[in-house]
Amino acid sequence: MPKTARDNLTAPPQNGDRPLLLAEGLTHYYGTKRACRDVRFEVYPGEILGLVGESGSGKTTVLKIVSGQMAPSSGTVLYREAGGAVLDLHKLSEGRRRLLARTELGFVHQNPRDGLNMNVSAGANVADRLLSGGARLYAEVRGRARDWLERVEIATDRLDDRPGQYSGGMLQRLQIARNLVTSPRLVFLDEPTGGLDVSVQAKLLDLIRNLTGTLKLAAVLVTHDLAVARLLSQRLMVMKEGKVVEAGLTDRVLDDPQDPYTQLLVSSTLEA
Amino acid sequence: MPSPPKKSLPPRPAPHLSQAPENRLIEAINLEILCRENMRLQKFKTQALESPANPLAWAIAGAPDVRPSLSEAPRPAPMPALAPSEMARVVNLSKTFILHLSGPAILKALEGISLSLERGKCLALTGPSGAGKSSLLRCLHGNYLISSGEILVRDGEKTVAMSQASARDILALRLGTLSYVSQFLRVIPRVSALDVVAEPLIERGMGAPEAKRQASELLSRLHVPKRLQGLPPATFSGGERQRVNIAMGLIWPSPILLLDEPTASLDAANKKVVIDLINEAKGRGAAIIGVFHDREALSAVSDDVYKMNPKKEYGLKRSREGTGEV
Repeated sequence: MPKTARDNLTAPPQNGDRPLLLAEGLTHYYGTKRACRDVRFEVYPGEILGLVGESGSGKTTVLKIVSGQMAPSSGTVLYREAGGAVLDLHKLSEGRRRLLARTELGFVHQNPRDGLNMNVSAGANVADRLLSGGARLYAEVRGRARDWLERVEIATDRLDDRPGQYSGGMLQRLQIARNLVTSPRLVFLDEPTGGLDVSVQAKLLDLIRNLTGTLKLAAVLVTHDLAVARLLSQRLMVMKEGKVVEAGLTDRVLDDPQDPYTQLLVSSTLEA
Repeated sequence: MPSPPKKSLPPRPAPHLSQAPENRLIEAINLEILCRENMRLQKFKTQALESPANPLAWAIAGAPDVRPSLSEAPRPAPMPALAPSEMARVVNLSKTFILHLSGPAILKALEGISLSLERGKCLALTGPSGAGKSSLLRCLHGNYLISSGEILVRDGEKTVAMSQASARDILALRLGTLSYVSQFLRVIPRVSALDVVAEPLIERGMGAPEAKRQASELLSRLHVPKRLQGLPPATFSGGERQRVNIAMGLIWPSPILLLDEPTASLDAANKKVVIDLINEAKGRGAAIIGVFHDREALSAVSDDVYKMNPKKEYGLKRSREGTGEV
């Protein structure tokens, strides 16, 4: 749908009407098994798009494809970079895609050990992306790493500890700090609160909510927890057997689900 | 398509497939690749047919999309525009729930509702439980999809038709025009009452210190003491939560207010404050629609009353003779 510039003065300025990311016709096969089929969506600047569905519905596959980690069997992922150029994520050179993944994009894995380098200190983990972004001054890099540990509520005297000495919740927060230190424009979150106990989960949700709110970054959030989706995302897509069965405003999808599967999902969970 | 020639062919011994198992595997893979290529080609062809230019480039580069869209093709007859004093209009609205898991069962919540919201006026919805009062508010808020009919909402200079609005249109509408006070506060862990109430202001671009100052002021007015304001509302009593909820819904001066029983579970003093707040909102020109079970609040704020009941017989009444001039 074409969007015209908002000339409404009473409404606050919108974050922009052009999508940051556009995925179209994503289909992927693992061997002969189809993981996702004809998935299409857009992500706009400053919004969180939730992706829910049961295990094996293809959520993580879609996330891996749109984040450039895995090429789809067919389909296109377009990304509008900070300079304004539109890039076809899977036609870029490997080096270019990696650079993008370390600067403008972020990926928070469900298991923080997948997203962290466990062999170097926490500070080095946070500094890693800064260095690949071109920062060279040791004091400055260390200062920013320290600053980010503070923002994710990790005591700064743990800066030089190895991540192996961190608890699960701390590891996840460290992974978030590592991703956000380069001020990415788009972050992919794969079950960021999965496997954490409830109090740690609440802390982490609060952190993600605050950071996305203040940094105005866009995110694609994969979760199977509808309450998490309601809390964090503005728009929601429901996947089943690799297909998107319903999409819309998060509260609309959860309060007035149209598809039989969404109705099942909503009625099967505790009050969300 | 029927394929009789295939059937009529005599069975062939497939000479192109080698007998060696590893060769056969390679053949099969080649065949698979060929099939996929073919699929991709088909897809490309259909895409090319649909649009002469690259549709993706159009969408993402933000250029005006001139392609005829399927959803736009059957344009419904244009609705009469909103009158200058009208902020929103509900036209022959129906809402039906289809519950696929129980049958499917079909539940009619609303049928043929028509009403309009005027600047500086408050329309009260009355009727027994199950009459559809909350459903109507939720339709207005975009929380429920419309089954048939239309809701027009004035959004600054333009008018948004809710049945056609995308998720992002509704988000923009909520940010700029619609505020909704729900029946219950949805508690977010670890977030203090003050932050909950300040958030609508911060979300709309106000600096955090000023937003928190205003939030604290409003909460104090609603008799939520300063010592409670810094705590998460999870531990609050029902009445305290409701007041936090009201503060959150009313702190930003929205042009349209949707109030779902704002005075329920409040004591007399707080009810008075809420009534004052609603009347102040009316004074600045907000259009208000609300459910009020409480007679005192109803008569103190409402200009018109819209009666609803489960049999779906509706009626508009002036609540005060002679004063309810449109």
